[in-house]
Amino acid sequence: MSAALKEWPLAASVATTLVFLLLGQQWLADLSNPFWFALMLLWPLAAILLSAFALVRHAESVAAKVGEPLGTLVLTLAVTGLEAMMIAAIMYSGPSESSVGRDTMFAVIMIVLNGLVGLCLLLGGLRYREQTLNLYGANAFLAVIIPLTVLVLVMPTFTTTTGGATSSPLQSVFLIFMSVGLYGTFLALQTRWHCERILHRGHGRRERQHGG
Amino acid sequence: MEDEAHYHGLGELRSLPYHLTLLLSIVTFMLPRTNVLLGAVHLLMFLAYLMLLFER
Repeated sequence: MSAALKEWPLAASVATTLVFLLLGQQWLADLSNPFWFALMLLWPLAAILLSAFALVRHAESVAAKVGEPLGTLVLTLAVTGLEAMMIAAIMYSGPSESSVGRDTMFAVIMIVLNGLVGLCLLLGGLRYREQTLNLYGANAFLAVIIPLTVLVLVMPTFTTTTGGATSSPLQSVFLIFMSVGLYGTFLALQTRWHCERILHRGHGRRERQHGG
Repeated sequence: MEDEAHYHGLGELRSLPYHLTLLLSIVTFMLPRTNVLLGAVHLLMFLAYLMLLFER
Protein backbone atom coordinates (compact mmCIF):
# COMPACT_ATOMS: atom_id res chain seq x y z
CA MET A 1 0.00 0.00 0.00
CA SER A 2 2.74 2.42 0.95
CA ALA A 3 4.61 1.52 -2.24
CA ALA A 4 1.51 2.41 -4.26
CA LEU A 5 1.11 5.65 -2.31
CA LYS A 6 4.64 6.64 -3.24
CA GLU A 7 3.55 6.67 -6.88
CA TRP A 8 1.22 9.64 -6.40
CA PRO A 9 3.03 11.67 -9.12
CA LEU A 10 1.64 9.21 -11.67
CA ALA A 11 -1.92 9.82 -10.49
CA ALA A 12 -1.32 13.58 -10.45
CA SER A 13 0.03 13.68 -14.00
CA VAL A 14 -2.68 11.37 -15.37
CA ALA A 15 -5.33 13.56 -13.72
CA THR A 16 -3.72 16.70 -15.17
CA THR A 17 -3.63 15.14 -18.63
CA LEU A 18 -7.28 14.15 -18.48
CA VAL A 19 -8.41 17.53 -17.17
CA PHE A 20 -6.50 19.39 -19.88
CA LEU A 21 -7.69 17.01 -22.60
CA LEU A 22 -11.30 17.68 -21.61
CA LEU A 23 -11.20 21.36 -20.63
CA GLY A 24 -7.92 22.61 -22.08
CA GLN A 25 -9.44 24.26 -25.14
CA GLN A 26 -11.73 26.58 -23.23
CA TRP A 27 -9.29 27.16 -20.37
CA LEU A 28 -6.49 28.25 -22.69
CA ALA A 29 -8.75 30.37 -24.93
CA ASP A 30 -8.53 33.48 -22.75
CA LEU A 31 -5.26 34.11 -20.89
CA SER A 32 -5.65 37.86 -20.30
CA ASN A 33 -5.96 37.49 -16.52
CA PRO A 34 -2.38 37.26 -15.19
CA PHE A 35 -3.31 34.99 -12.29
CA TRP A 36 -5.12 32.60 -14.58
CA PHE A 37 -2.13 32.71 -16.95
CA ALA A 38 0.24 31.92 -14.07
CA LEU A 39 -1.95 29.00 -12.99
CA MET A 40 -2.15 27.66 -16.56
CA LEU A 41 1.63 27.97 -16.79
CA LEU A 42 2.63 26.57 -13.40
CA TRP A 43 0.18 23.70 -13.11
CA PRO A 44 1.29 21.79 -16.26
CA LEU A 45 4.92 22.72 -15.50
CA ALA A 46 4.60 21.19 -12.04
CA ALA A 47 3.01 18.07 -13.54
CA ILE A 48 5.85 17.77 -16.10
CA LEU A 49 8.53 18.19 -13.43
CA LEU A 50 6.83 15.68 -11.12
CA SER A 51 6.67 13.08 -13.90
CA ALA A 52 10.24 13.78 -14.98
CA PHE A 53 11.62 13.29 -11.46
CA ALA A 54 9.52 10.16 -11.00
CA LEU A 55 10.86 8.81 -14.30
CA VAL A 56 14.47 9.48 -13.33
CA ARG A 57 13.92 7.88 -9.90
CA HIS A 58 12.54 4.72 -11.51
CA ALA A 59 15.26 4.66 -14.17
CA GLU A 60 17.87 4.94 -11.44
CA SER A 61 16.50 2.01 -9.46
CA VAL A 62 16.27 -0.09 -12.64
CA ALA A 63 19.85 0.91 -13.45
CA ALA A 64 20.99 -0.10 -9.98
CA LYS A 65 19.30 -3.49 -10.44
CA VAL A 66 20.79 -4.36 -13.84
CA GLY A 67 24.33 -3.40 -12.88
CA GLU A 68 26.91 -1.08 -14.30
CA PRO A 69 27.49 -1.48 -18.03
CA LEU A 70 23.78 -1.63 -18.86
CA GLY A 71 22.70 0.68 -16.05
CA THR A 72 24.34 3.67 -17.73
CA LEU A 73 22.50 2.77 -20.92
CA VAL A 74 19.17 2.62 -19.09
CA LEU A 75 19.72 6.06 -17.57
CA THR A 76 20.89 7.53 -20.86
CA LEU A 77 17.94 6.17 -22.80
CA ALA A 78 15.45 7.25 -20.11
CA VAL A 79 16.68 10.85 -20.12
CA THR A 80 17.12 11.02 -23.91
CA GLY A 81 13.68 9.51 -24.48
CA LEU A 82 12.09 12.00 -22.10
CA GLU A 83 13.78 14.90 -23.84
CA ALA A 84 13.06 13.71 -27.38
CA MET A 85 9.41 13.09 -26.51
CA MET A 86 8.92 16.58 -25.06
CA ILE A 87 10.58 18.28 -28.04
CA ALA A 88 8.61 16.16 -30.51
CA ALA A 89 5.37 17.01 -28.71
CA ILE A 90 6.07 20.74 -28.97
CA MET A 91 7.18 20.53 -32.61
CA TYR A 92 4.02 18.56 -33.41
CA SER A 93 1.84 21.42 -32.18
CA GLY A 94 2.52 23.60 -35.24
CA PRO A 95 4.87 24.50 -38.09
CA SER A 96 5.92 27.71 -36.30
CA GLU A 97 7.43 25.60 -33.55
CA SER A 98 9.69 23.63 -35.88
CA SER A 99 12.80 25.39 -34.63
CA VAL A 100 12.26 24.23 -31.05
CA GLY A 101 14.35 21.08 -31.58
CA ARG A 102 17.35 23.01 -32.81
CA ASP A 103 17.08 25.68 -30.12
CA THR A 104 16.67 23.13 -27.35
CA MET A 105 19.72 21.18 -28.47
CA PHE A 106 21.77 24.36 -28.69
CA ALA A 107 20.60 25.41 -25.23
CA VAL A 108 21.49 21.99 -23.79
CA ILE A 109 24.97 22.15 -25.31
CA MET A 110 25.59 25.66 -24.01
CA ILE A 111 24.21 24.88 -20.55
CA VAL A 112 26.29 21.73 -20.18
CA LEU A 113 29.56 22.77 -21.85
CA ASN A 114 29.59 26.29 -20.43
CA GLY A 115 27.19 26.56 -17.51
CA LEU A 116 27.69 23.21 -15.77
CA VAL A 117 31.36 22.71 -16.66
CA GLY A 118 32.09 26.30 -15.64
CA LEU A 119 30.24 25.95 -12.35
CA CYS A 120 31.96 22.64 -11.54
CA LEU A 121 35.41 24.03 -12.32
CA LEU A 122 34.75 27.27 -10.45
CA LEU A 123 33.29 25.74 -7.28
CA GLY A 124 35.75 22.84 -7.35
CA GLY A 125 38.60 25.25 -7.92
CA LEU A 126 37.54 27.42 -5.01
CA ARG A 127 37.39 24.44 -2.72
CA TYR A 128 40.30 22.24 -3.88
CA ARG A 129 42.47 24.77 -5.77
CA GLU A 130 43.28 22.23 -8.50
CA GLN A 131 41.26 19.29 -9.76
CA THR A 132 42.25 16.38 -11.97
CA LEU A 133 39.88 15.35 -14.72
CA ASN A 134 38.80 11.98 -15.99
CA LEU A 135 40.31 12.85 -19.36
CA TYR A 136 39.49 9.60 -21.10
CA GLY A 137 35.78 10.00 -20.48
CA ALA A 138 35.66 13.74 -21.14
CA ASN A 139 37.59 13.46 -24.40
CA ALA A 140 35.37 10.61 -25.60
CA PHE A 141 32.33 12.81 -25.04
CA LEU A 142 33.95 15.81 -26.67
CA ALA A 143 35.15 13.85 -29.70
CA VAL A 144 31.56 12.81 -30.41
CA ILE A 145 30.00 16.17 -29.56
CA ILE A 146 32.25 18.23 -31.85
CA PRO A 147 31.61 16.60 -35.24
CA LEU A 148 28.00 15.78 -34.42
CA THR A 149 27.01 19.30 -33.44
CA VAL A 150 29.16 21.23 -35.91
CA LEU A 151 27.90 19.22 -38.87
CA VAL A 152 24.27 19.35 -37.74
CA LEU A 153 24.04 22.88 -36.34
CA VAL A 154 26.68 24.87 -38.22
CA MET A 155 27.07 23.22 -41.62
CA PRO A 156 23.54 24.14 -42.90
CA THR A 157 24.46 27.82 -42.58
CA PHE A 158 27.18 27.47 -45.19
CA THR A 159 25.71 24.96 -47.63
CA THR A 160 24.55 26.52 -50.90
CA THR A 161 22.26 23.82 -52.38
CA THR A 162 19.27 25.25 -50.53
CA GLY A 163 18.90 28.86 -49.47
CA GLY A 164 19.33 30.07 -45.91
CA ALA A 165 20.53 27.77 -43.19
CA THR A 166 18.63 24.74 -44.48
CA SER A 167 19.62 21.29 -45.69
CA SER A 168 18.82 19.43 -48.90
CA PRO A 169 17.33 15.91 -48.61
CA LEU A 170 20.70 14.30 -49.34
CA GLN A 171 22.38 16.38 -46.65
CA SER A 172 19.60 15.58 -44.19
CA VAL A 173 19.84 11.85 -44.83
CA PHE A 174 23.60 12.01 -44.42
CA LEU A 175 23.24 13.87 -41.11
CA ILE A 176 20.67 11.36 -39.84
CA PHE A 177 22.85 8.34 -40.64
CA MET A 178 25.93 10.08 -39.28
CA SER A 179 24.19 10.96 -36.00
CA VAL A 180 22.80 7.47 -35.50
CA GLY A 181 26.14 5.86 -36.40
CA LEU A 182 28.24 8.07 -34.15
CA TYR A 183 25.87 7.80 -31.23
CA GLY A 184 25.60 4.03 -31.64
CA THR A 185 29.38 3.70 -31.64
CA PHE A 186 29.57 5.91 -28.59
CA LEU A 187 26.97 3.87 -26.68
CA ALA A 188 28.75 0.65 -27.60
CA LEU A 189 32.04 2.09 -26.42
CA GLN A 190 30.49 3.34 -23.22
CA THR A 191 28.65 0.17 -22.33
CA ARG A 192 30.83 -2.61 -23.65
CA TRP A 193 34.41 -1.97 -24.54
CA HIS A 194 35.87 0.73 -22.40
CA CYS A 195 33.26 1.34 -19.78
CA GLU A 196 35.72 0.78 -16.96
CA ARG A 197 38.00 3.51 -18.23
CA ILE A 198 35.20 5.95 -18.99
CA LEU A 199 33.33 5.51 -15.76
CA HIS A 200 36.10 5.54 -13.23
CA ARG A 201 39.78 5.86 -13.62
CA GLY A 202 42.18 6.62 -10.85
CA HIS A 203 39.45 7.53 -8.40
CA GLY A 204 38.11 5.08 -5.91
CA ARG A 205 34.66 6.51 -6.36
CA ARG A 206 32.32 5.80 -9.21
CA GLU A 207 31.20 8.71 -11.33
CA ARG A 208 28.09 8.18 -13.33
CA GLN A 209 27.97 9.98 -16.62
CA HIS A 210 25.30 9.98 -19.21
CA GLY A 211 24.86 12.09 -22.30
CA GLY A 212 21.35 13.48 -22.26
CA MET B 1 16.89 36.75 -40.32
CA GLU B 2 13.10 36.89 -40.34
CA ASP B 3 12.52 33.29 -41.40
CA GLU B 4 15.20 31.96 -39.07
CA ALA B 5 12.53 29.82 -37.40
CA HIS B 6 12.68 27.51 -40.42
CA TYR B 7 16.45 27.21 -40.44
CA HIS B 8 18.01 23.87 -39.67
CA GLY B 9 21.26 25.42 -38.56
CA LEU B 10 22.11 28.04 -35.99
CA GLY B 11 22.91 30.83 -38.42
CA GLU B 12 26.17 32.72 -38.50
CA LEU B 13 25.71 34.85 -35.40
CA ARG B 14 25.13 32.02 -32.97
CA SER B 15 27.73 29.80 -34.61
CA LEU B 16 30.47 32.07 -33.33
CA PRO B 17 29.97 31.63 -29.55
CA TYR B 18 29.40 27.97 -30.26
CA HIS B 19 32.78 27.57 -31.97
CA LEU B 20 34.40 29.47 -29.13
CA THR B 21 32.75 27.09 -26.66
CA LEU B 22 34.14 24.07 -28.48
CA LEU B 23 37.65 25.54 -28.62
CA LEU B 24 37.47 26.39 -24.95
CA SER B 25 36.24 22.91 -24.06
CA ILE B 26 39.13 21.37 -25.98
CA VAL B 27 41.58 23.54 -24.06
CA THR B 28 39.93 22.66 -20.74
CA PHE B 29 39.91 18.94 -21.35
CA MET B 30 43.47 18.93 -22.68
CA LEU B 31 44.81 20.14 -19.36
CA PRO B 32 45.76 17.56 -16.77
CA ARG B 33 44.60 19.88 -13.98
CA THR B 34 42.02 22.62 -13.88
CA ASN B 35 41.64 25.69 -11.73
CA VAL B 36 39.21 28.51 -10.98
CA LEU B 37 40.17 30.56 -14.03
CA LEU B 38 38.87 27.99 -16.52
CA GLY B 39 35.59 27.77 -14.66
CA ALA B 40 35.22 31.54 -14.80
CA VAL B 41 35.91 31.57 -18.55
CA HIS B 42 33.31 28.86 -19.17
CA LEU B 43 30.75 30.80 -17.17
CA LEU B 44 31.63 33.92 -19.15
CA MET B 45 30.80 32.06 -22.37
CA PHE B 46 27.52 30.99 -20.81
CA LEU B 47 26.68 34.58 -19.95
CA ALA B 48 27.50 35.60 -23.53
CA TYR B 49 25.05 32.96 -24.74
CA LEU B 50 22.38 34.28 -22.38
CA MET B 51 22.98 37.82 -23.59
CA LEU B 52 22.55 36.72 -27.22
CA LEU B 53 19.20 35.22 -26.27
CA PHE B 54 17.88 38.68 -25.42
CA GLU B 55 19.63 40.96 -27.87
CA ARG B 56 21.26 39.99 -31.10
